Amino acid sequence: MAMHRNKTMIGIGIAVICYLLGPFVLSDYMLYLINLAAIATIGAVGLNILTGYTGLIAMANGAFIGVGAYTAAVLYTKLGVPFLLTIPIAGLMTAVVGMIFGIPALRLRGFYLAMSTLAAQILLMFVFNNWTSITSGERGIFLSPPNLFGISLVGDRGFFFLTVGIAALGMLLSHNLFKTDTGRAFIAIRDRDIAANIIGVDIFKYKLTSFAISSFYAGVAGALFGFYMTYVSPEAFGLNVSIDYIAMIIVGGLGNLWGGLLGAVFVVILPEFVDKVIEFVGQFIPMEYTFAAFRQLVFGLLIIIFLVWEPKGLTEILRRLFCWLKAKIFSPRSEVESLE
Amino acid sequence: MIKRISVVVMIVALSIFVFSGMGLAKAKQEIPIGIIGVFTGMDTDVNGMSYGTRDYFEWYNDKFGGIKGYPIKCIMLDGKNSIPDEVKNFKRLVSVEKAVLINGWGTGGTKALKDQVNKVVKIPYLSESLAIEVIDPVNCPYNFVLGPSYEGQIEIGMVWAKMQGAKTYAILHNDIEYGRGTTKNVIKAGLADKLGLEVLGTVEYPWHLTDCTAQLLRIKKMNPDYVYIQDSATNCTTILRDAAKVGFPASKLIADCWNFNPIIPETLGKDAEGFKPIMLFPDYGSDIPLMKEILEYAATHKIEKKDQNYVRGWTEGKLIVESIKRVIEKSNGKLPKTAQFRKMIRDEMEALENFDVGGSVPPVTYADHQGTSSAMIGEVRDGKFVSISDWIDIRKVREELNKK
Repeated sequence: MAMHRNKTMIGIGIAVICYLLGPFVLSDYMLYLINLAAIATIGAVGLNILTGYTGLIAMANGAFIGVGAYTAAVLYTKLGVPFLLTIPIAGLMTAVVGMIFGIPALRLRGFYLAMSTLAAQILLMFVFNNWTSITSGERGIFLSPPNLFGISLVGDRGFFFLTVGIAALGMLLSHNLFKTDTGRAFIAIRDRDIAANIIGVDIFKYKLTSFAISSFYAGVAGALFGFYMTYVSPEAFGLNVSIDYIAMIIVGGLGNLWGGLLGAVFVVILPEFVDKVIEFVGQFIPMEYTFAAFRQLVFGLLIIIFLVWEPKGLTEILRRLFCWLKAKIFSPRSEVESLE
Repeated sequence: MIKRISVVVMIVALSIFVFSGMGLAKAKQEIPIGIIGVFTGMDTDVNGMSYGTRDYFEWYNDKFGGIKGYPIKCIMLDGKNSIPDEVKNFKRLVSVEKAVLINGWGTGGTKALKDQVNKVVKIPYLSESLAIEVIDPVNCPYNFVLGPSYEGQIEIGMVWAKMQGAKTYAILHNDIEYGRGTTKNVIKAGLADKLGLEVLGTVEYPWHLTDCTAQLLRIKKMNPDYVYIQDSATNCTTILRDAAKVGFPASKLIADCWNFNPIIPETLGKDAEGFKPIMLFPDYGSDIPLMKEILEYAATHKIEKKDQNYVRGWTEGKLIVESIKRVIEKSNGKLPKTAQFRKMIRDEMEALENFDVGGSVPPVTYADHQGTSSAMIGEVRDGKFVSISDWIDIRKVREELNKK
């Protein structure tokens, strides 16, 4: 027990050191990728609560992130609300919107639920494009770089501390959620909603709560995204974004806290990884830019591979890898080896 | 055994990724220039611009050994016409590749990077966008474009129509900012009134257009002398198809520069005959001095896209190289430090005056960061685009009308 606690403390210590020193060591490009991955982690953790833990498939995460981004942008630019306050307010607003779209969806399941959330995605995109008095339509909303306790958050370094910090907080809250009755109710609904209902779990209430929490996370991610990009426009919140988030939680691992983080990192980093490998190989084998589509092919193939061969996602692969490493490195020698 | 090989391959690949991301120093002095193009997703049909610029740099390196002896290192990345990808590529070009200038892509990315380009990094950014919001030498001193804005193109269409004796005009546009916002700006500017042209109306249609019959019947009822379509080739193809259906002649339809696209005559055949897109650049193969350089390059290299966008890209390459050449000359043949280099390139680009680019556009003066406000009118004849007007400089037209 003490050894386990020591290992945890060492792990946390290393993470804190990386968090404090990382921005001064890494390039802006790497920091940008990490910031994007952190923002995506927040959205993916939220979606995992809804889909992975409660079993409700949703195809509107992109649009909910847009609601958060626009809410923060409007509050900051038109109402002068301080930057830090816009983030939780954006989360709350998105939670309300999520609940509004969740209510009619709660009687539905599976394919029909997916379609109703897809309708939410399309509807919200229509609002972003056409409610020009609030959203400025295609023209978009510019945000000046925000200040945090007097420090201007221009550039990637400042945002690193904010996005990674909020992502870590979001994961911690999610972890604690599933130690509560609410979290256990979500899991019960996912596993057997009829049985859960019979034993007294209020299905309607908890499904709606799950929608609200998931949307809150999406709203916070959207607000951070808007401030980080300093520009909010509809094209950043389309159906492709919703599909990316579903890919994140599938690849990361449905119903697992770390699934959101791993999936987000994978989806953000993989295209860069493939690009770099192609560029490196391109130095030796001539490659035209028709291979630009190669990365999307790889991306799609990997998702299919995960769905077929490892439906539990990266978390399960890493768990097995750690077990194997532990067995190889830390296990006692066999009797035969010790005799030799 | 297979597992060990897989682990080794993964470690090697990860190392490539990590170390290239950390940006190790390069021994040879080169001039890094970034290009953010589109090679996947929407707009790939016009990505000849990026290839043109890249090929110009390669041609220049081969012919002259670089700019004053310093080879150009061109880093071309895929922005996928997506703002986060364009921003990501920008970060890489700036912080890892240490690019001294970036040839960017669309309006969305250019606007999103406005603060980074002009206040944080301060790097000259020549984008392919023609939206008026990115042309602001005072507030966006590092942003450059090449060509008249979309509003300017509509007005060029009006001027040409007036030259043909037209009295009435209409505008057909999509319902996004590109269509609706641009049209609103043009109506507000009021050039039509000064020209003595009556704008009978503006008709809107949904951006994801599948059928334009209803809108074209309204246009037909108005009976304008000319109609300007503020949209790109995909929707324009639908409009021309439906115009033929309702009996509205294609010869009365003028459209913006993105419709100077071979897809239109190839898809529509005789229904496109007489259609008039704005021509910002001559077509590939035109009899201009610049084309001789392109053909010289084409003799030993493959040209990805033989169209006017390629000519545009080649022209932009010339402007970039000329600006950098002047910086090196002023620096006694040495390359300044990156931040200073970027600022000096910006200053030299802005100082370009009546610079001859080889006939692809009138001599370029970059004081307004637009380079040129001129365009020609093209027409589809026998399935090919031909120019049917001289250069119309909308800036000069506005100045003359304002004097009256």
